[in-house]
Parts: sequence; C-alpha cells; structure tokens
Amino acid sequence: MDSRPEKEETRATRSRRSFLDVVLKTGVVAWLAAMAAPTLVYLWPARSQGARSTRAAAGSAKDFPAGTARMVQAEGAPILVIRLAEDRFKAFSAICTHLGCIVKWEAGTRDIRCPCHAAVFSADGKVVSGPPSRPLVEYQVTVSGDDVVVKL
Amino acid sequence: MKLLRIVDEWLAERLPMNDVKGFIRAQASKALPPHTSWFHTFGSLSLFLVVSQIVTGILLMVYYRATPETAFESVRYITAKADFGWLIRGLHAWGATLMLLMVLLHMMRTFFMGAFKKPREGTWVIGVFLFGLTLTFGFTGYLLPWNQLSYWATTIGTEMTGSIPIVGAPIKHLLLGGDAVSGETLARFYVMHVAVLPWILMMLVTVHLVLMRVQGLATLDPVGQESPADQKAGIPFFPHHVLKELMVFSVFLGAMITLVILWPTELGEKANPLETPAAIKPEWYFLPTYQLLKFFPKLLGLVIAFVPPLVLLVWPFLDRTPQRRLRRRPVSGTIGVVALILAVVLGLMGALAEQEVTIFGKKVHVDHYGIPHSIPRP
Repeated sequence: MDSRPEKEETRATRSRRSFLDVVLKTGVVAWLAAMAAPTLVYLWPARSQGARSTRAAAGSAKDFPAGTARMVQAEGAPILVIRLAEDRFKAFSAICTHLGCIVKWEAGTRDIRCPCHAAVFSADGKVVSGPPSRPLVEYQVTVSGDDVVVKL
Repeated sequence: MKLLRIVDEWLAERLPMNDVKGFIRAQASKALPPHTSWFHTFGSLSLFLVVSQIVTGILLMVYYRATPETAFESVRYITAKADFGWLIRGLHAWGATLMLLMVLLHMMRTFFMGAFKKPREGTWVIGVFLFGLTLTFGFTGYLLPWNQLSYWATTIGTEMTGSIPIVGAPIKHLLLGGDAVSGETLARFYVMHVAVLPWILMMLVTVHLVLMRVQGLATLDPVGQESPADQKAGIPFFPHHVLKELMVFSVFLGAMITLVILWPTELGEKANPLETPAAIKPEWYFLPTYQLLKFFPKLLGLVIAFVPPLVLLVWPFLDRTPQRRLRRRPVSGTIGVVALILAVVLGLMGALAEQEVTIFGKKVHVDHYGIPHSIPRP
C-alpha cells in the first residue's frame, strides 16, 4: 500500500489552505487599512488655503512711545513689536520657545518675560534665563511714513 | 406582584431564566475574603464616580456649546442661570478630581495588599490603562470651559506632547487640529471627552469587573496557596458588602455636595489666546510629572516621565514573589512608599513654584524649580 499520493494530496490541500488563510488574513488587514486611511486623512487638520499675507500693520509710529511694546496678530499668531528707541524697532513671535505661552515686554527692566515658567529674554530675543533653549523668532520691522509694518 | 409574576412567566417562556436567576443568585451570595475592609470600597467608589460623571456629563451636554464663541458663555449660563446648574457642574468638576483620587487610592490598596499578583495580573494591567484613561478624561475635559486656565494648561500640555521625538509633532498637530489651541482643538477634545473615551472606558471597566468577579477578590495568602473564601468564614457579597458600599456611597455623595457648596469651581476669565496669565499650572494630578520635566532637558525629561507609568504597567511581572502581605515583601513595599513620597514632594514643589509663600512665619520665594529662597529684607 503506497500512501504517497494521499500524502501529496494532503500536503497540496494543506498548502492550498494555508495559501487561502494568508489571502484571507491579508484581505482583512487590507480592508482595515482601507477603512483606517480615509479616517486618518479626514482627521488630519486641513491646511489654510489661499495666499498668506507677507506683512502685518503695527499701527502708527506717532503714538508708539519709545520703551513700549504692542501686540499685533498676523495670520492668527501673536507678534510682539517693541520700540526700543526713537529709530529702533524690534518684532518677535510672542510665542515662548519653551512651552508656547505668550511673552510680555517689561518696560521697567527692558526685557521680555514669559509668565509661565519665569523665562527671561533680552530685548534682542536671546535667552537670558529660564528653561527655553532657543531665542524668540524675530521679524523685520520697517517704518514707512508713519506706519510701523512687520515683515512676515 | 401579579404583574411581576406575569412578566416572570413571559420571560421564562422565552429565555433560560433559571440559568439567569441562578447566575445572579450565585454572584450575590458569593463570599468575599474575611479581610475585605473599608479599603475595598475605593474600587466601587471609582465605579460610583464613573456613573456620576456620565449622568452629570449628559446633563451638562444639554446646555454646553463646543465653540470658542459659545463654550465659556454656555458654562457661565449653566453655572449662573440654569436651575441647579451650579450643582451639576460642581459635581462633574469635583467628580473628576475625586475620581482620580479614588482610582489612585484603589491602586494603592491593590499594590500594598499584593492583590495584583498571579492570577490577577491582567486585572491590574487593565486597571493601569483605566488610570491613564481617567487622566485623559481630565485633560480633555479641562479645556471645555474655554477659560484662561484651561486654554493655557492645554497649550502647555500639548506643547509637551509635541516635544516627543518623531511622533510628537504629528500627534500634537492631530490633537490640536492645527498649530495652536483653537476652535478645532475644542471640537476634537469635546468629541474625545464625550464620545470616544466613554466607550473605551465602558469596555475596559466591563472586562475589569468580569475578571474581578470570575477570579474573586484576592486573599492575603501567598500565590498558589489561596483558598477560596467559603460561606462560613467569608463575608457575603449581599447584603453585607453591598450595604457597606451603599453606606460609603451615601457619605461620599454628601461629602461631594458639601465640597461643591463650600468650594465651588471658579469659571475665571474667558480664554484669550493673546495673553497668558501668570504662573499657569496644570491640575494637581499632572503636577508631579510637570515638575519632573523641569529638571531635565525636554527629551530626557520625557523618557524619564514615561518610566513610572511603564513600571506601573509591568509591575506584576517584576514583583513575582509569592508573598502578598506587605511585611513579607519589604523591597516592593519600600519602592511603593518611596515612589509615593517622591510624587507628593514633586507635586508640592510644582504647586508652590514661582510664587512667594510663608514657611514657619518666614516669607520665601519659591523658584521655577520649586526651591525656596529667602527674600532679603529691604
């Protein structure tokens, strides 16, 4: 009695079964991925459309005394504009580089401070003390006529 | 009574009611180990708070509006105008804090009584996930009133997530629905808080409870030598333990209402994305981690901050001695106590940081790192 053909048949059946098993499992994974992909894409925040503005108005220079600062919003982000002297303006992103709090200009000490973790930045945006490891992001300021404008 | 009999017969003709009744009877009369104490009610108090949070949460949803223009005003309406709104909101806000406290106490009881050991490792692991989920509930719910505190605490929290290497930035972007906390974030947190997390919570709580009922409460006997509590020596679940729990629930609810009346949850000022209030701090349950992160550079800090929850998760597989009684496992007991003290000290340092406080009649300035410095006299 030779059982070889029977064995071969069993092997063939087995490999056919395991093949079908793999196909089925791959199918289930592919199906789940096909469901998950659009969900993730749907949840991913949309980018803002349209042209981005390249400058932000920071008001009139006339009523912007030296040694004071102003907060302006550009594309939803806060920008701190400081008039250090009659002819010297500085502008920084007001978002602290540590954990995202909004920094403030301290006229008395002429430095920039973060209310969250007591970080101190100098008037040129560099870290003086506290936890931030990076300086504040700086923007260019131009004065045309009486208008103070921040270049983004 | 006749109606009850009719319903009973109606059900019996359609369902295996004898099996159902037998199951309920067996569960009710199941004996609990003789050492079952008041400490064993922390778990059921957590469950009580889950129910309370769901009920008060649903009631709050009736008037709450999740947009930056209306969220703050709707919470103000609930607190000041809606009849008993102050009570519903107060119970929900205090319930969140107390739930964290009860879950922590329940975990401590399980840890110190060695109840996490074989065969209950799975129940412990699910419990740790439930703890994480409770924290996530706290984090997502905190933003919803859209006040200054909630807005900036969320900003700091998500910024911290963003500093995780590689995956941090995309997770932060996905959580915020943009680059900063905005209306998109509010909508996302709201959906997570009221629709996604409750389902996950219910599933995990169900498995946690089923495992607890199937395996029974742990005794104080060493692993492998546990003898199931018998009807004679054990405490019957019903009515003895159930009555004890009902008593605790009543006192607890009374205490919660007292807290709501004596220390109402302030609403504060509406969120202003252009102005961060001074010395913003997270809720007390995030303070130890928040304080820990101050001592290390961002990346190292996050790695270190991930260690305690990870250790907590795999603890049953690390502490494999058969002993359950605390005095017979001094190493794990000491680790537990030291971890607790460390968490409390870090939390206190975080709570006192960046302000002037009076310690033993002396005014000191506590710096960013929680270290007190004496203030020189003028």
